[in-house]
Amino acid sequence: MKDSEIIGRDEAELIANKPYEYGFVTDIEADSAPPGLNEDIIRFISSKKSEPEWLLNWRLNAFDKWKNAVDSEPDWANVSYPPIKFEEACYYSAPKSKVDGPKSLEEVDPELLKTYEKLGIPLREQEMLAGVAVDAVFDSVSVATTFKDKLSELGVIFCPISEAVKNHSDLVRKYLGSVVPVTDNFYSTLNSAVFTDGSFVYVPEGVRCPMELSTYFRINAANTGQFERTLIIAEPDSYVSYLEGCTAPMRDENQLHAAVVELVALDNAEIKYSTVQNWYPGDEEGNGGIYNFVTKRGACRGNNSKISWTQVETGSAITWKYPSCILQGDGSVGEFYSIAITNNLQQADTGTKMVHIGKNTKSRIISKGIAAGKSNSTYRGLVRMQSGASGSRNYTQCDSLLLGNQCGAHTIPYIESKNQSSEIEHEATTSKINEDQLFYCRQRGIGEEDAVALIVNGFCREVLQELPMEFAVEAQKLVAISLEGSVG
Amino acid sequence: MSTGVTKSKKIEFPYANAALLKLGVTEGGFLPSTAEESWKYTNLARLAKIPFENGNTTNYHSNLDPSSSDKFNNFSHQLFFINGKFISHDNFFPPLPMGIKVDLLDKKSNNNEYKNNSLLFMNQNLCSDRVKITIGAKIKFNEPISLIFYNYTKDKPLAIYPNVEIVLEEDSNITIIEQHLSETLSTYWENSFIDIDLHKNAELKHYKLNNGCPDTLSTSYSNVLQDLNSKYLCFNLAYGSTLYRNETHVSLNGENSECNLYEAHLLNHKQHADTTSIISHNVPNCISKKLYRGVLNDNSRAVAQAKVKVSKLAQLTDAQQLFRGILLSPNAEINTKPELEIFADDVKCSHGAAVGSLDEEQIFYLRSRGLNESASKILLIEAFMNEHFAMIENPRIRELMLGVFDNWITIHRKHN
Repeated sequence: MKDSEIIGRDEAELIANKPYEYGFVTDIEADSAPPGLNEDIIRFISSKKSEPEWLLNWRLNAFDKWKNAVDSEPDWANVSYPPIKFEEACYYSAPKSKVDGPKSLEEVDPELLKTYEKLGIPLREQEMLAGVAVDAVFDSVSVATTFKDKLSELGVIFCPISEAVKNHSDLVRKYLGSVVPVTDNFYSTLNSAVFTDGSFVYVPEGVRCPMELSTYFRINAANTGQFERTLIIAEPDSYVSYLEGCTAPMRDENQLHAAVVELVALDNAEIKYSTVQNWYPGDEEGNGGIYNFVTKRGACRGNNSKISWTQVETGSAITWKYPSCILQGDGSVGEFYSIAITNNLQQADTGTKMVHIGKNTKSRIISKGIAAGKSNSTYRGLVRMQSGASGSRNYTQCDSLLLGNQCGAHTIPYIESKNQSSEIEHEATTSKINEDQLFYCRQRGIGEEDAVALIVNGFCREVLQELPMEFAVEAQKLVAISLEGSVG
Repeated sequence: MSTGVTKSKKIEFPYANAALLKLGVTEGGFLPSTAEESWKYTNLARLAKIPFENGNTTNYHSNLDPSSSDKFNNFSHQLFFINGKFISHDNFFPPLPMGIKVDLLDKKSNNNEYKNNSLLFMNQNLCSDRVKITIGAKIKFNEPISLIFYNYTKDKPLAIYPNVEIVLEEDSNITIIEQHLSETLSTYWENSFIDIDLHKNAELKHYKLNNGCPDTLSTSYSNVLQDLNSKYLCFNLAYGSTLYRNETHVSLNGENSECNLYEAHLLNHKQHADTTSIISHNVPNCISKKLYRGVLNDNSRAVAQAKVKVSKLAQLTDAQQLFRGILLSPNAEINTKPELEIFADDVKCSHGAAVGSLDEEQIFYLRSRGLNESASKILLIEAFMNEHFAMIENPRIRELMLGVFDNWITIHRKHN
């Protein structure tokens, strides 16, 4: 089955589900909260989502904590931006109706279409991404429904978190905030108070999820929320691979994005979480662009559990993101593979934390930072061996590549060892593109820009090959596109 | 974070407050707290509780003849400081060679230059003497010049502020060995400041040995400015003191200058040692290296931090950092942070860090050759550190440092 069909049918179901949505949208005034952040807004969000009492209280408690900390917005990251006016933002608006979107691809901005073309995105998928209203006739048997049937047969739950709150309240209540506590950091506190969207995944014991769970397939995920909240639970002996985001450029009117992602892996379970982030980075002068302030953390609670993060970060004006692993279970494994590309005036401060608590835990960090234009890219990582983490190992490699002399690449690794029998290895290099390699490519008739793209792709290979198939091909092209205009 | 009150970046320091007030200075009497990034791993809170007195108010041991005592590892040329106070040279020692000048400078009271660095601010305001050593142009001198910082306390804890400026004029070349030694009945805090200025083509080899008594506290700050083609080599061995911090700031301001920092920690008991350095590459074509090795026993803790800054102009920079630590005990702890901050594209910058225990396979190999476990371990520790000590060119200084290493091994052997 072709991707295009999947998406088309997926989209169709979205239309099919519309009545429910329409019921929501009739009164436009009541469906968007007025700008501002106060208890009423939080009650409004909670009641819109018909949430149980405990969650409302949870949100209010978070808001209370956030109010007290409103002056302690973190300033340690190597990024700079004008102060965010939290009071002026709008914290709830109903998903946009597809009817208002363009009627066909001909109405879509040709620049955007060009980019889709370069990425090799199938036509049907392009329509979905551009928000083209698709005729519901397309579809009789929804593929998404087929997927859902297959998943539910195995007992896998994959739904929006707001749905999970209603249908699987006990699970959500048990795990929500257990990996990223409400007061973990400024933005996670804010998210806890106002989150509106996100995924919930539950994989029961012994189940190997037969397909990559992508936000593509989650029907209402076309508009990713501003304050996403994702929770993934893998019961003993289970496996799940989750894909987030997409390679296509995403535009959003909300400047601040503060998502929280929590992963829990129990005995022998494995979670693979892949992200491709390509939010609007702002224009060449650095106007606009998304502030992507994300807290992602996975807890390897069970013995021999494994959590693997892979990320390709090319978008956003500012990225502030440290997907981490708490290696609690004996023999658990954490991995972090990252590519961060910054161009023009983008700023990225990203990295990971590997906290080794259990015995014989292992972690591996491969980070590739590429800075071009006038951008700044920072790797910030922590590897900590607690005193009980006997026989544990870490290997870290973080390489930076600089294109041009206006950009900056920074590496800030924290290495803490309280255990004699564990070993930590860290390597880092910073360099520019090898002239010899460039010359070799040029000599064989490859244009300079293509040659740079080729070399950068080689530089990132170790990370790219960790991505699931469907992402990997597009991600390679994305790497090249992100660097356009940075050479020569 | 902290959804509560932000942690204060200052620790109240009543002694310093009072001492500065006496000079009419109303600010600056505080210590940096662990909320400050560069002090994240070293906590000075215990200093704040000690009722120090200024070292300069106490008369030194009148019977002491620094030129005759063996414990100062006499080199032929010495400059002697007791509790931070410079001991007039003529009384004890042969005259310094031609071209080397020692001056006492005026104190810079209420100096605001270091307002942001409270430790330096205290040093500038509370030091007994400011000593300037000038090495004249084209002076080349092979014999090391020894700076002895000898601290002596009786019943009261003292705060001691050595303050030395070293200027190497054009084309000069010397070796300096800085030794921090002590004899104490109660604790002291030595807060030293060494300001080094290397002019064109100057070359300084700077060896440092902290061999203060256990239970003493020491913070040391060096500021190094380097001009065209200058070379700076520093080898620092941290062995004594219960709390030790060595902070080095190097600015490579002239092309083709080179800076090599070697740091070694040999720690026991509850010792805490910290090496922190910032190397700023401000011009093209400079080379810098920071190599750290630490061996930690018992409950000791080591901190190794370094930051290499490469400015936009500093193309063709070659900067290396390599940190290696060995933990010999389950309670030892090491924290390292090798940072890079790079704004130029045509550079070669790398850092590496490796922390672990002795290699079991290597121990097994040695045991299979008939060595017992303890001897095998000691052999491996020696091999690990000797690579570092081999960087010391001057045979007398190497012998002195290796002697300290032998002491440490002996103590280690007794323990295990």
